[in-house]
Amino acid sequence: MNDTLLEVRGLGKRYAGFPALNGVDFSLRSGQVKGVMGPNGAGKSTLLKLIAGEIRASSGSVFFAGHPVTNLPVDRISNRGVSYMPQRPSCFPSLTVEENVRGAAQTSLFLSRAEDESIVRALLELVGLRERAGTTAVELPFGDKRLLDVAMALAGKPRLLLADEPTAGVDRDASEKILELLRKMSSPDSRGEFGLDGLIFTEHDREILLDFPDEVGFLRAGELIVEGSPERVKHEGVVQNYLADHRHFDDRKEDLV
Amino acid sequence: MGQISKLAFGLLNGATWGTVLALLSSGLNVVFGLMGTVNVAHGSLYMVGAYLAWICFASLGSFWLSLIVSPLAVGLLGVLIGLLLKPIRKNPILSVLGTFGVTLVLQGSALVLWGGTPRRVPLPLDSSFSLFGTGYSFYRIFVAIVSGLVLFCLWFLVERTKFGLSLRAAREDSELSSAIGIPVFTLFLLGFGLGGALAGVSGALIAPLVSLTPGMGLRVFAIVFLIVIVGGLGKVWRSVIVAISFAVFRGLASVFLDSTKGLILTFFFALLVILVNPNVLGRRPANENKN
Amino acid sequence: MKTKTSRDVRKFIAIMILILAGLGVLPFFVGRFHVVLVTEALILGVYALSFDLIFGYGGMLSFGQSVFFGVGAYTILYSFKGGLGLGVSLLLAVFVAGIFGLLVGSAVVRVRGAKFFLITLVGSILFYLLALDNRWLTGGSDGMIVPTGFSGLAENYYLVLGISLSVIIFATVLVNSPLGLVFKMIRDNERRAGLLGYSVGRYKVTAFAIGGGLAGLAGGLYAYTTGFASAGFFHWTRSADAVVWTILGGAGTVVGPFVGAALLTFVRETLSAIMGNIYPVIVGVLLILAVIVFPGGLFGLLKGAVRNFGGSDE
Repeated sequence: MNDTLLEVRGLGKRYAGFPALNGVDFSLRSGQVKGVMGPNGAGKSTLLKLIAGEIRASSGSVFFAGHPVTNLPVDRISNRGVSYMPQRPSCFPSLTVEENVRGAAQTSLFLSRAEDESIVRALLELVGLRERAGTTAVELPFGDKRLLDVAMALAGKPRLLLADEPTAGVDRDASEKILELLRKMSSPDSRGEFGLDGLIFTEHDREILLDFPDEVGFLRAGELIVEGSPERVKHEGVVQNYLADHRHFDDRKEDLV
Repeated sequence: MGQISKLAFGLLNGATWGTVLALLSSGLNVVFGLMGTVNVAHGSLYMVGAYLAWICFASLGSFWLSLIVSPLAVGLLGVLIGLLLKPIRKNPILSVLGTFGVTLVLQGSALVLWGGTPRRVPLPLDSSFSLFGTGYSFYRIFVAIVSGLVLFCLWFLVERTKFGLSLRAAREDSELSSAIGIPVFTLFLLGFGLGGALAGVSGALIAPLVSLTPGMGLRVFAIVFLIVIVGGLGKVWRSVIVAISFAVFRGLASVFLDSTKGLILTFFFALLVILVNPNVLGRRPANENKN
Repeated sequence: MKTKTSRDVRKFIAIMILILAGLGVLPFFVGRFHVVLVTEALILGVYALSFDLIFGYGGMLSFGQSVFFGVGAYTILYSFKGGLGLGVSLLLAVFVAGIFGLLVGSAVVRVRGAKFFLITLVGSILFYLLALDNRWLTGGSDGMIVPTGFSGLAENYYLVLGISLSVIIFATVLVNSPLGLVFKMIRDNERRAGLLGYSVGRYKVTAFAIGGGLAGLAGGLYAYTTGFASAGFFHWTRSADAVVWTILGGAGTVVGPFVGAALLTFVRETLSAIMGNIYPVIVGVLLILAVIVFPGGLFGLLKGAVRNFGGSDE
């Protein structure tokens, strides 16, 4: 279980000459949870989108489970077991909650399979949206949309989940539910059917970051300048300065992309 | 006709038609390029401008009046369409459908009012000069000059005045613009008015050179839209270049092949340009779903 | 919830049976003119539905549907000229137009939003001009006779009715299948569909091929029942017809396009007797109303179809 799940080498992205991400190196072992923090525009979302294949890298490479996946089409990376959950709720607004999850879970194009149905039920149960299965997604409150996002992101039984600010803009209740879920899915003893081999998430909240992940990376101006255990990272000068400035600073401004 | 006179004829005709097309496409560019709303009715506004020229000639006695009447009346019509579109202006699909509805109404009304028989406006300048043995009307030269002047004014308005700056700012970020006190919706209406006025004047200018039918607007719309897209959104001078090359290419192709084949070739090349480079628009529209 | 759904289904089936019964006995009660008119309305309904699969389910506002209609019509024409029977000819029309859908779709699906509308519009103009220019193949604007040999109006009517029913059943199954769900996902949110592992382009091409095949079937039936095909079949205004019928009838539904096509065909016929030229004005007004006044109500489904194109309110 100690093999490398994800390896990122010299990953960079330039927009019109301006570097959004600059030669980032890191790796993720199987079973590891990594938190990424940094100011707005530091390249957190860019990093996740590059790994997921949503945007093309200007330089560097990404290896998933030992295979190169750099700049593969986004659907192929997804099918290899990397699931990306975008920063803002991104569901299918005119479809019901149940259809949203079914669409994410289905494994056949022509027949509705019984095992797909049971996966959908299990997922709705897991995120606590069973009561709302028939609701149109656009009518869900913000927090529930986010939970729906999590359910969809897990539906393909991915090995690695990339969650972009999973709790941003979400009320305390839903936020705790989401974190609880992510923790459960990524902890080796209690993860069950939809367990993850690895999790990378970006986050603004200090408490969450310094408590939950095995490792934390700190991005600034497109560079990964500090990396290590939360214990170690929080004693670094830059990080302390940042945390002092950004306590509970939760504007949802987008990163560059 | 010899090959050389054919060539000269094709080039000159193309250039005249090209300046009108440039005028027409810059009108669409103001609405689509600068404001991001597709106005399918733009061609029909041009048709209305042309019919107004015919009315000025037939009922008021002077074609020249239409150079004032058409832009004013059609500009007003443009503002009305802008008002109608208010609730759907930010949605490209709904605005295509809504303005297509407006097109049907305008075209249908023209058919009801003026009938389907082609109308003709005689050349207001009847002198011509000889070119390689073929007569060439001075009016075409006049059209090219007026179009050029209007285009220059438009360029000045968009690139060099506060109004143009606000128009461009409103396209970049309408939320921010209204936050800093730019009246976005008023600008939107003014843009529609400006686009309409440009369509109106193009219609009036072209009226003596073609026969007028209610369907003339929709026929030209596809070409104009194509020019705006190939030339690039919001770039007035680039759509001028594309419009003229388009018209010259078509003029030459029509002279040396025939008019259907010329049109086929022109459309074919334009399609290729878009397909080979689907991002000729410059910026790709943000596809991120926010809800 | 389950009970509500099944009650809806039961009500729907009851209404369908009533309509079917009415359509089944129609030729015994109305004159030849109306039999021909209903036949035409049904064919145009199939045609509108073929567009709805691309727009209402696939989220692509295509103004190129007439291309497939024309291809289907001429496939039938040449298939009859080659001495093939009706069944084979119709299958051939579906197949050839489907291949066209596949090819055209592959070329255009990368393009989005308003540009997609333009490129399909120009595409259909191009095909029309080509059909006009190649008289040896199409007969140009004068057209060509389809050598069908006459079969009675009632026979034609029942043939078209049977095929329309099969198409409705096929489309209902399709849009409720997992594949149909993928289409709706792409319509609603292309980005997330890709992130969930669906190759968006391939599915859009699939929708185009299916829509193309059905439009070919409609074109083939039209050529067969009227005994005639011309370059005008390719004209983009015929594409616009499908757009208007579908939106007025209800995009993103299977029956809506039939309702729109039938209603407007009757309105057109009735008006042309009274005041011919007013029809496009009325259609234009209806279209504006549908888009601006009822985007949420009767046409709520249209809204979902449209959300995909980054036209959000933010």
